[in-house]
Amino acid sequence: MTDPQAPRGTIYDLGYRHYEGPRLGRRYAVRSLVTLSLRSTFGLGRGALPKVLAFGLVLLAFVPAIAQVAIAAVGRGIFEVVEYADYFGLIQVIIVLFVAAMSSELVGNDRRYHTLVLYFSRPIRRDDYVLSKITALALALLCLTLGPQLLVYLGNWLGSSRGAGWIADHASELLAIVASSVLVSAQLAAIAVAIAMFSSRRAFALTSVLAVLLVTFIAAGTLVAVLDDPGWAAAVMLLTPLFVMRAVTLVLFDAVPAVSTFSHDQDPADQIAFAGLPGWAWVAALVAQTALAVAVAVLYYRRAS
Amino acid sequence: MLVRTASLTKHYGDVTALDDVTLEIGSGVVGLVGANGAGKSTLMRILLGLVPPTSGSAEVFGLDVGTDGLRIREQVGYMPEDDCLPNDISATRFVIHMARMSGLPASEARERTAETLRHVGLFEERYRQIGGYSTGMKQRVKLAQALVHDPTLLFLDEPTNGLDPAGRDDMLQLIERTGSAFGISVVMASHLLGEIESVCDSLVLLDAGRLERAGAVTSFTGTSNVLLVEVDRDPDLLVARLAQRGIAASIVGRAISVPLPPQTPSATGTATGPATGPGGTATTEQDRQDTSLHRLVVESVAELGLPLVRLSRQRRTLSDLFRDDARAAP
Repeated sequence: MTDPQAPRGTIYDLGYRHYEGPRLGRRYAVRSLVTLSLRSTFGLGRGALPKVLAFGLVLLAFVPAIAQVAIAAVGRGIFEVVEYADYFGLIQVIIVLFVAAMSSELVGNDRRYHTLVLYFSRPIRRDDYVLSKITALALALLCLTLGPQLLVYLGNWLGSSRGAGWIADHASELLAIVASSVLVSAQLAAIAVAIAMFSSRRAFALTSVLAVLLVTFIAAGTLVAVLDDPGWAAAVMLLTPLFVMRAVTLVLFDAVPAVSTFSHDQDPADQIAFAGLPGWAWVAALVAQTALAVAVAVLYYRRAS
Repeated sequence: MLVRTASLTKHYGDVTALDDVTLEIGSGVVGLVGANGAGKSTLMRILLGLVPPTSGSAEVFGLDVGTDGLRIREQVGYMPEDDCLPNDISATRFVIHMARMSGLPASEARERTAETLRHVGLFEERYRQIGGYSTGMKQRVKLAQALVHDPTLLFLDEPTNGLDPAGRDDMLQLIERTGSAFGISVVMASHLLGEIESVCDSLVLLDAGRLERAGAVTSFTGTSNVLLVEVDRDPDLLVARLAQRGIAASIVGRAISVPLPPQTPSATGTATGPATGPGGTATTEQDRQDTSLHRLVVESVAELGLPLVRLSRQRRTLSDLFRDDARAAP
């Protein structure tokens, strides 16, 4: 195959073969993008540090669940240390750290390295790109939301020693676990991507996501305590992503505290109860926040170059 | 025709990137020439369906860029001008990823990636992270990602950007073989005329967003109507002697330029591969006239007893053409 006339070291041709196989088109390309984004979230195919970070945070998110299972195993169902409705509150900081780190990774890299144009020159639409990224992040988040909750559920079941009967009695809990995990993961993934996409600098993207999620939560908590008015409290909390996340979880597990217990101790659950909103309002707020974030992200990428 | 545009216009705010461009591009290696900002990149981006035109229309493979972008992009490869590679993964992983994004099943994507990277000249280093690559290696990865899904048409935007002379030659050779040996048509943008001349069959010349000219490279560069005579001394004597014989020669640098009778035109408007030569009888007639002029020049030189260094038909290059254009349009 080597051409004797070719200067050595410059011709590498070992024969070019045309591709005769299938071209699977847009849907396959989108699926590939989701898969590969999900892989890169967990640092697969990349260095050791991203893996440590991702799996470390997942492990931390599981700590309360593991503790619960251990206690249930010893105490045969006597103690329920961890409540499903409180779980996202317990690991809130871990979830936010994860979503901040991974959103800046998922959309920031392609902007920083100007790789977007290579994606857009392939058989996908611009909307597909950003929706795939949000989907991948939401799926990754399920490892921190759905995963530990299912483990707690499993632990409680094993601790109950009642087998199938227990499962039947607690079917609604399982439904609430899945519903709350899916809703919360979608919400945080969409919001985080819609913030992280504005910066190609990773540290800046990460800080922005942390700021928007955590700082608004703390500020809203203080504001609600200071204002001491149910109407204003409701308005402030409906606009705050983490309050909505907590409220939806409480609503789905039917665990909103009685209104009368409100005090100025700034416990989020009490503050949510203080607003006195119907459950559907919180769920609607979550859906609206998610939809708004998705819309902003889609519009942004339609203009991005 | 692979590409067809009609009155294609693109404005970015007040800036007109493309102005009423109507052209056709056939198969082969086609050069897109023009200074920076002439609209080359914009034209490519429109043809890929990456940006919509302001007005006018464009088709690739007969498919409209506005509505059939997905089907077009399945069959084209694009190598952008600027850096576009992630630093933190290996070339292999990245190109596999891009192959799958083009619709290749996972196993085929891996196979084609290995072949394509070898084809562009990346070997062991393809498992290393791209961040550690030289500019030359990065350019090869950029070409590989555009080629991995075996496109029908390849858009290359300044493919030799940032390369040293050796890397440049390698890249041009690679492009030429891609176009000739593998039957993949190439549209290559460059502001370097030498590159276009060495690899392209035909070219499209853009200037400030307008189509200046399109045609086979030979129609631009073909031999010019000038006979160059170089003598060791006293060129002015020769000019005077030729003038006596009714030949208007002039001194150009160290040589004397003698205009030849006008040639039969061979250039046409479309850029479709190498142009076919002019008719046989016309050429013979032309040759006879040329030969008599040659003889007159040689006789004049001999009569004056001047040492003749060179007597040849001047071959034009693309840069001459641009110099002519620059003079013609002040």
